[in-house]
Amino acid sequence: MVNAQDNVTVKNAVYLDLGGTGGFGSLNYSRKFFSINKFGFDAHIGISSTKFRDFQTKFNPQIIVPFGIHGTFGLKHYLEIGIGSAYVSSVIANDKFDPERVSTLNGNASIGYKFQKQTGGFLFRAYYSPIYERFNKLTHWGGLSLGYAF
Amino acid sequence: MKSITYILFISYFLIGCKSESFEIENLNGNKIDALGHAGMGISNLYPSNSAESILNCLNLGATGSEVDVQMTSDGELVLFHNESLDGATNATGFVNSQTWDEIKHAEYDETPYSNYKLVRLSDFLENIDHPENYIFTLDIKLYTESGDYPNFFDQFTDAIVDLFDEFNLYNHVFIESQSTDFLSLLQSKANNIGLYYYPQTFEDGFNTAVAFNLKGISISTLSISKEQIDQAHEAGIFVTVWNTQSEDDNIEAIHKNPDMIQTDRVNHLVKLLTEHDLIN
Repeated sequence: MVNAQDNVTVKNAVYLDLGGTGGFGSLNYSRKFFSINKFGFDAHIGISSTKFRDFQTKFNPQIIVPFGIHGTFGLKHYLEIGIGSAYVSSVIANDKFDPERVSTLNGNASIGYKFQKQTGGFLFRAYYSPIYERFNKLTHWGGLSLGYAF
Repeated sequence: MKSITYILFISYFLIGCKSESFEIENLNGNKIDALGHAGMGISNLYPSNSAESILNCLNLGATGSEVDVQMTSDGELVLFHNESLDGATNATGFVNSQTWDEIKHAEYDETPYSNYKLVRLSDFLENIDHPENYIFTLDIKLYTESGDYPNFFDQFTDAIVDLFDEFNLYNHVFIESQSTDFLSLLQSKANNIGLYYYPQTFEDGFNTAVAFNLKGISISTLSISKEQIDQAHEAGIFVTVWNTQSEDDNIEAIHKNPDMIQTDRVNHLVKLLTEHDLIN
């Protein structure tokens, strides 16, 4: 009899998201903090930006930090369900059309597929991740992840 | 073998570094106005017609920008392209069916985490530094649910004339429209506004510009040749080309000798024209 818990040899992963809860893409780190049989939970945090310069062409980057938890079911092919949030600090034009940095907190959820061997290595995810912008506007979104588990 | 590799490498390098040469002869002092297409263009992360997109374009050194203009039910001119606010923003309905107060908090929402708002043209002109230093082309979008076009055109042209008077826009802001009825009405109210017709074909544009004594035509670069631009220039008709979505499109458009280019690749066009001392 194979005990799934005994086979869990890796807890960490780094991956690049295309799309996803970071917006257009993000670099992420996740760590499994609980697992029993086929069930597990991991926490993740990432960093992203779509603009490094503001509209005055000065270095003034947008900063997006997605974070949250995923519940997973499986051993190599996983069903993954998550909730999370994203801190976003952007530069917009204010009423006087000058640059102004504004920060928002946004909710998100996700459901999708993850491929990752218990022993680590290549990681792939494909998921639907609606974003609840400033917790008052729903944007349908999704993402793909490629990464490495260790 | 080494020699062949060396020759291939040098050839590739030389081809890759070939410099363009341009001979511009137009009605614009042999210079070209580099305008953004609704700001930074359609493929930029800033939404078209947002303040951020237009200001980014101006701050990159563009001569100015084309913008899309619609009128609210209370006669305010708003920068927005589509027929309806649905889809591109978190608001719904036609711009012309709502007052400015009803839509002024609308935000573009085609991509996540964008907080860019709709812009009222008068706010923009009032707050940016030295608007008189830039060329703006107002692409008039005549979307209304009312069906009463005579009254709609009358109100819209009044709003434009009021704006031109308030901000003294006559020397650096132009109007473009696909409707000759609209352009004629505007011309009858203010014959000193530079009017451009927006045709589907060069022949239609040329004949209309001559017949209505318009300043110029605004046409897709795909629909006009260098020879046709020369023909327009000989008749005293200015030519603006748009739909340049790549660097090659920009280069091809410059070779045609237009007076203005509305580009989706602002940075490239500005750099290229500046390098060749061709930008106004």
